[in-house]
Amino acid sequence: MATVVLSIAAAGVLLPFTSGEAVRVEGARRTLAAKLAGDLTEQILRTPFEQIVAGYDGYLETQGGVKDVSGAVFTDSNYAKFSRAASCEYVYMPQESGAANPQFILITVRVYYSGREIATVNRLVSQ
Amino acid sequence: MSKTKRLSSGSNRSGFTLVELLVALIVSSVVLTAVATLAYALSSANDSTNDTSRKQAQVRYTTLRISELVRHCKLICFAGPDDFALWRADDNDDGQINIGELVHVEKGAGGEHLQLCEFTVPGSDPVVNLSDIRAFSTNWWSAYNVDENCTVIIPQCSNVQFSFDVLPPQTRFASISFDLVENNISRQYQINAFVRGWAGNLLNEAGDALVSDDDQ
Repeated sequence: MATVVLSIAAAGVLLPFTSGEAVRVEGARRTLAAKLAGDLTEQILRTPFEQIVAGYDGYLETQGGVKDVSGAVFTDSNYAKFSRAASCEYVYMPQESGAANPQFILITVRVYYSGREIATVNRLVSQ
Repeated sequence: MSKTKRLSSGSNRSGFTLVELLVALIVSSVVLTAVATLAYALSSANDSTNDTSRKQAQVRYTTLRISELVRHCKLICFAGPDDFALWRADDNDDGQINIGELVHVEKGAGGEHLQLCEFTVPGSDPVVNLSDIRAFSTNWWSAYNVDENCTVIIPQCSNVQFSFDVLPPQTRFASISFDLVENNISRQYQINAFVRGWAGNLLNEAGDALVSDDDQ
């Protein structure tokens, strides 16, 4: 009986700390994920408009294979469980007829942690 | 005989034996040690959490600040191993670079911190030639009678490196990488930004000076 009561008391004391730590880690993870999504978006934006879809539609960096701007994989263990994917597609605005060449590309960058999507960035770019 | 009997009966009625006291002491010390260890661990965890949170906040702020600066700047005017200078905006809309419109992103002496340096102009904001802009540490700006105002945005970092797609003033993409120690582990960070408002139309054909409009 005493053991059970003591265990419950100990769990009650420790639970707020473990929960707080989990929230902090998740926050840091999402911060990094948002940064990674933003970084890839910036890299896509530097690409000439005509080459965006060919170069980045279906782009994928698998888990543990997230790269920096020079193309080298991040060796930091912080990035080990992250993966990134991008899709780029031509879109027409409602005011456009759809007959002319598309003038806009919708870029979507998704960042995953252990396969779970935790950050998404959408961006519309024009020629 | 009667005295001995009285003492003996009193001993049986109340009090602790030496063994009982010793056991109680040992149990108390074990409990106190456990509490002290827990308190120390919680304190260490709290310090570590605070440190990490502070550094995460610095990274978030720096990412936002530098990304916005680069994205919306008109030109990256100079790039060296220790810093780069960007023309933040044309505040007075004169098509010229005024010294108050410049920002240096510098990695500080020894590369142990990252800072932004701007210039405060007491009177009229003097125009600067593109070719005159050099590394912040050379004090090129001192000829313009301005006050420098440096803000450290990441106080403790290492291995700060700047990279660009092409040399200024043609630069359209900037990347800043640095390491930050969190919980005694060195973490890699990188900030990438594309110059959206590039004012290449204000450059001459050689690309080394500003002209007042596209047609010159």
